[in-house]
Amino acid sequence: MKEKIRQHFNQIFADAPKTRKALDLKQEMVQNAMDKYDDMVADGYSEEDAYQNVIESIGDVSELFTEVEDKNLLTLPEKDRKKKAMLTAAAVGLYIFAGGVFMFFAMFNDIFGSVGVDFASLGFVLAILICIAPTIMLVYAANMYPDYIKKEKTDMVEQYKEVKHSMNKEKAVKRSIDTIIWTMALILYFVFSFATYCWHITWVIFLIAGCIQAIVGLLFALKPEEKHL
Amino acid sequence: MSITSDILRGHTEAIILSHLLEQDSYGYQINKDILKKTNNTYELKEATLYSAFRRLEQAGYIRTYWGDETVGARRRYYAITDEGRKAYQEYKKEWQEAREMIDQLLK
Repeated sequence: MKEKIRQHFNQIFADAPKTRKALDLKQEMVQNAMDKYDDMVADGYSEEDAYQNVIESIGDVSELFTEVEDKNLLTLPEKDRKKKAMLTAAAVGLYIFAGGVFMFFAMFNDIFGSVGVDFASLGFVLAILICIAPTIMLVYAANMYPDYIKKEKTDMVEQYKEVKHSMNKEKAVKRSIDTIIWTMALILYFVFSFATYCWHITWVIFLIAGCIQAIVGLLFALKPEEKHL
Repeated sequence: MSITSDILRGHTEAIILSHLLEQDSYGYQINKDILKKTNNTYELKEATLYSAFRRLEQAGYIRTYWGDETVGARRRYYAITDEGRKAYQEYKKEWQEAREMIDQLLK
């Protein structure tokens, strides 16, 4: 009868990947099945009954082999949450720093206006360059939410968690897109303005940015409808 | 009963962590304990149990080692890590909050 149990596991693991992990898992499961079988026989069950019970208690093993996701446990790990918060804080700090650099150089212009070097433009270019780093950081932070994947979606709690998670993620993505839109608008505004000196018309860029943001918002509002059951 | 087993299945990982808090253990032993604690009414399917082990291991909440049994095949033991203890406390707190909420809603 024990040989039959072994054969059953051989059959189950026939489709499993031939890896060290799968072999270990098989050995572990066979051993535990044997223990269970022994216990049941010792408790007075017939060999046939014990065998049936052992086989039935295995359940659906396909999930064992496809189980590669590692981040679906409980919630977003504390570590990632802290990292995300730090990234965001650092990004905001860098934006402020960039603004400071610009102001600083602009001040130079007032004081040494006669030297003939356009400190304001120089400071502006520096500020823009500094802005690149925090923008990348924000986008990265927004994408740090791991996907919430759970095989069994039978109970309400799981479904709720999943919907909530995808909403959180969407919000984060949308926020970072908004940030990028407005940063780009600001950059383009100054670049165009300094290049053309058409300050009286270039402010239209901000209106365009507003429109783009509204469109992005609409796209996000339309998408979730497929997701909600 | 179907609600019960669904909820229990949803907490498989926390149930395992709770068992490992007491002592290191192996798959069959944990399942036996669960059966005993639930007065022979509930038992995890092996597939559920072992996939939960894998997830916990990947998350760094438990670690595993092979026992040194001298007779018969070796057993694979599991032990909870410090991270696992933290995650368990957190989870337990969340569960208590959820339970209170559901109790309020299902009066």
